[in-house]
Amino acid sequence: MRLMLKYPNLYLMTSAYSPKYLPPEVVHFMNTRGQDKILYASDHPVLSMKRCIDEAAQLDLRDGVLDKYLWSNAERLFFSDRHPPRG
Amino acid sequence: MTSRRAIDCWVNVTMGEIKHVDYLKRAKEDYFKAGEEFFTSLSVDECLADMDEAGVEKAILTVRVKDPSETVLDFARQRPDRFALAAHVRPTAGLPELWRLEDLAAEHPVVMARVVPFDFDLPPRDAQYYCHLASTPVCRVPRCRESARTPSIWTGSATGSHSSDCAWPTEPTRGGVPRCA
Repeated sequence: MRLMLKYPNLYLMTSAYSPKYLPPEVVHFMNTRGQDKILYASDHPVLSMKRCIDEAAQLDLRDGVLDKYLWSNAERLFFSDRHPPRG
Repeated sequence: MTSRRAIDCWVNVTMGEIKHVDYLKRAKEDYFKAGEEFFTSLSVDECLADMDEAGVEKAILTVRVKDPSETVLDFARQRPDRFALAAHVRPTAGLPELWRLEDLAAEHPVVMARVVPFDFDLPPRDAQYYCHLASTPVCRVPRCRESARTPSIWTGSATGSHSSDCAWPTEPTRGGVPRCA
């Protein structure tokens, strides 16, 4: 998490990590300075995507943080205009 | 379908093809304690059904850079609105791997270049990672490096959580890599 604060373009993806076992420090980071830094991933079918999302919904997250974790951060990083055009 | 929307950044649709890999069998049994669904290969319709049930709008599918699976590529061809690709780079394959990645990204919706270091037993700063490091300026995709617990199962040496780091440069450059003979 210290590295993510140091490097603006460094992110953490929680692939194959059951959200209910995320360390409290990570959840705190998601709620505060790391709202835009953590990306959801399941590694389905290793961990089912439904299980991971249901568990993510049970995390003690502030308003809007769950949507950033599940959607906005990945959308911005992989699918937005920030992704430069090829050619 | 739930009201939540999500992008799942790591989905595998061809796990059934790698069920013979010993360390994966051990990961399934010793770490994840999973059932046979662990090694399930999915069709497009099955994957979409799982995504709709979970509220996943887009899934990023794993595909190898060398000899990419036509099965996986077909997912992105059939439903480009629902599927994108994460290219699995082998740093030990050298610069030709970067050329293959460049070709793959030119024809398919590759949104990430991923490396799984424990597959290659290379130290983190080994020069062979160059082809992965260069994937961002050459192909204009973020880099993803897995930092997994899985190696501790099969080598007993590595530590760390099973997660991935993504990096994206502030100012991506353009242009390909010269393909010298």
